[in-house]
Amino acid sequence: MFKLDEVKAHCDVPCGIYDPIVAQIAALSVIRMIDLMNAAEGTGTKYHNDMARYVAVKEAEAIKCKEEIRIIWGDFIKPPQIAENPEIHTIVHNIMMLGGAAKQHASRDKAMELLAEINKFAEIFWKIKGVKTKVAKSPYAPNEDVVYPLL
Amino acid sequence: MFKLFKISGDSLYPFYKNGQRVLCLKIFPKTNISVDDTVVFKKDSYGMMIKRVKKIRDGTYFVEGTSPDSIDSRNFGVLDFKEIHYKVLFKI
Repeated sequence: MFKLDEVKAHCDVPCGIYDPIVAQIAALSVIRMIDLMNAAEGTGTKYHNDMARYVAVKEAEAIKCKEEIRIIWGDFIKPPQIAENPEIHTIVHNIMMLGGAAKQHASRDKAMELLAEINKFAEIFWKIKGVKTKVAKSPYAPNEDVVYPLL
Repeated sequence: MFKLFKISGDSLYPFYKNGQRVLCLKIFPKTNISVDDTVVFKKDSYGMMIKRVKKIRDGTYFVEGTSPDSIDSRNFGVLDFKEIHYKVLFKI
């Protein structure tokens, strides 16, 4: 009697899978690369090869920080959540600038600022999701503070 | 006049779950659409969608899912009356 058609009640694709942990790990990687660059010694081929790899990874991870945060900010965060967390635009803008600085320079302090801003973003993200968070040291180098969801 | 739809997705959870079947009434020019009605509409890039009417202003309809990740008027803006094809009568 009735033809059954499908109608979409979809979320963003893939359905609702957003997590700032990728950006947080990328920020840790930036710090780690700077630590390795500062610890590198020598002038030979191995030194140049190692340094080139550290710089390349630092560049890629800094870009990943910007990209991951931009996607969550643009696709997941909606006007009602912006109204409840008006500081989010400033935090995202800071992440974009600090991500750029992480590529341009090799400053550990700037990289730590990048991680701190991404952690602030993660705190807001999990608050929106109704998930409590904790701050803990990453269980691997550079062993810096990361905001984790309490699941 | 009536049409049966199967819902795909969870953006209206817990009101409607993925796979839920709903009986819908076709929208005619004089059909009344109110806030909290669940409506079926067509958006070019998204196809046939189902969402709840959150606000009605100046003859336009702001539709939303219950999930913060839902693709709805927060993404594609308000709907005109003519874009809405059905409204949900009840779950089956």
